[in-house]
Amino acid sequence: MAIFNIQKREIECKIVYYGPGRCGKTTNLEYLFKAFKKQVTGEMVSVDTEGDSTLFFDFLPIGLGKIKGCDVRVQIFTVPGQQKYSSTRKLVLKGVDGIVFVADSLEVRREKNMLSLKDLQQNLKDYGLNISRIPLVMQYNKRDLADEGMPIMSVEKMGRDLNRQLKVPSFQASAIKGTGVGNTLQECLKLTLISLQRELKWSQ
Amino acid sequence: MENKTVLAGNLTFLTLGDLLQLLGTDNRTGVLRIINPHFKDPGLIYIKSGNPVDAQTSDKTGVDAIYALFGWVSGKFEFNSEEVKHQDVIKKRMMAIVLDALRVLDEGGIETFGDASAKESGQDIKSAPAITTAIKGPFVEYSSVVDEDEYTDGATIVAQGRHGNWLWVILEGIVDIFKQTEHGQALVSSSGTGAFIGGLTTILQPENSRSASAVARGTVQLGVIDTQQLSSEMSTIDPEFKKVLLSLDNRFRKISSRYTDILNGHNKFDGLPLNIKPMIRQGDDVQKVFTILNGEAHIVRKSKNGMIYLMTLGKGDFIGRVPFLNIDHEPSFASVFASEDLKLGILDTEKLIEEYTKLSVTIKNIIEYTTVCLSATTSRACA
Repeated sequence: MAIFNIQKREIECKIVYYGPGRCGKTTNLEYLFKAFKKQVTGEMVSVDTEGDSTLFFDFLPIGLGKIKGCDVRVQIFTVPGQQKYSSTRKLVLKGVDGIVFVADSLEVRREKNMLSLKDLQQNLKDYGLNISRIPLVMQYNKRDLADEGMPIMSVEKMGRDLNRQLKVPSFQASAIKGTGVGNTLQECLKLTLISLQRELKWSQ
Repeated sequence: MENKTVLAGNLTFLTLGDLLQLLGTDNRTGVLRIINPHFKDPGLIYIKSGNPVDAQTSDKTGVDAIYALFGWVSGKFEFNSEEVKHQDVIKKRMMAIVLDALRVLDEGGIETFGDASAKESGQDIKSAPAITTAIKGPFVEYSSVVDEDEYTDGATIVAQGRHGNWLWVILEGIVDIFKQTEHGQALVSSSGTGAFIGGLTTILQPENSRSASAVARGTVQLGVIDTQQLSSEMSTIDPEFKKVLLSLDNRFRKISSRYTDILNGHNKFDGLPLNIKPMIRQGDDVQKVFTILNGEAHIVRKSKNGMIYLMTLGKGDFIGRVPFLNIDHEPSFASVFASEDLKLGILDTEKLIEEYTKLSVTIKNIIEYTTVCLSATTSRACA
């Protein structure tokens, strides 16, 4: 649910990065924050939650143009995966417009990915949202680890594990190097705006 | 300066995190007041262009106060759009505060008030021995229950010394009542179904602080009593009758303190003055009700363990036999000793009975429960 700020003539939407602990959500955001420094409004907020950090920043994407004369401003969040952070999770997921699911390519994290996706589905359901309807993009992160000889899963295998039913756009990435990070967000923003347009019947 | 409430509502509907985000998105300037029944004073957050710059509660200021306010999970809020001249004590941005406060809240670092997720405040409450027999109350009058709350094991429902005018009836489960003593927390009693949390004072003198803490033992279902309805009922009663009810509650508070004193090893005659003369002897046939106009009356019980000093009553308290109150004190089960300057007035018993019959079932239940607790605690003090 995007917010229309009439005063500032802005449409504010919320993108949340979700995924198992240590999958690279934070690295994605840190890269975006640095790479798109000029488009970021205000500093990045980082809160140390157990096992992972929770991050937030405000972002004015370039190239999306204006919608009905309004600028589009994006709030980007990561969400702590740990069960006990229910208040934070609730606040972050409330009114979410688009989701990037970051999966870990490491062989050993296969089960963690699937559990986290299941968890996302349950959390969205708790807040009255449906995972198959919400704008969602998959990112298969840590592809670079193959170069270091670490056992990683093939993209096909990850797609079968995570995306067989959902059939959402997916990207290979190496957040630490920045590869695929921009594309992932760009696609998520695109889907989010299309969804907003459809919801509000702007295209008619 | 123009000062007006432009937004008001209930925190259970819109949480503090949501509110701050809303005011932040719109770059609003003004003062956010948070009102919680557990606290006498409202919490204040000063907001400049959407960012909190300072805050205060009765015992905290700045960022600490904001964090504490995240624990006020129920209650009301009001936002006044006005100029804020406060210095920027808080340097963090709004979203940084919201995310970090919620983290601390989830990690159990903020005490919550007024919600099922209330967390224990970390006092030495659990170390006290458990009284296994819980005092049950009268049959619950469901028509006065406006809402239900669930508390988990160990959750503090009310804390001693805090202000609050909420009144609950236990629908299911057991609540332990603790009193702060010189040697830490002492378990005074345990309450079961039908028992009330908060007493006559809660309705008659809501500005008084809580005289004991109530902690859930296991999962507890509470019914929230419509105190407004009861308060308006009480506002029409006869002042003399009201004094009797307050005095009854006073007796219960006094016997609870006395019981904890005795638990802490105080002598059975500690505090009883020497210069007193007997006025009513235990077992005397007294039918009248007196009110103390001046001086003091000391209540002493003779039991198989000898004489035990129970309490001292003062101006405004009643002594004697109140027909509708079944108290195990004077005249049948205790003696009254008078101070030299004691002066008494006689109360109109007929009038008291008439006032009593007019009361609603819930108030009658609270009175009955208070007398049961008074008798039970007296027996424990004398055991």
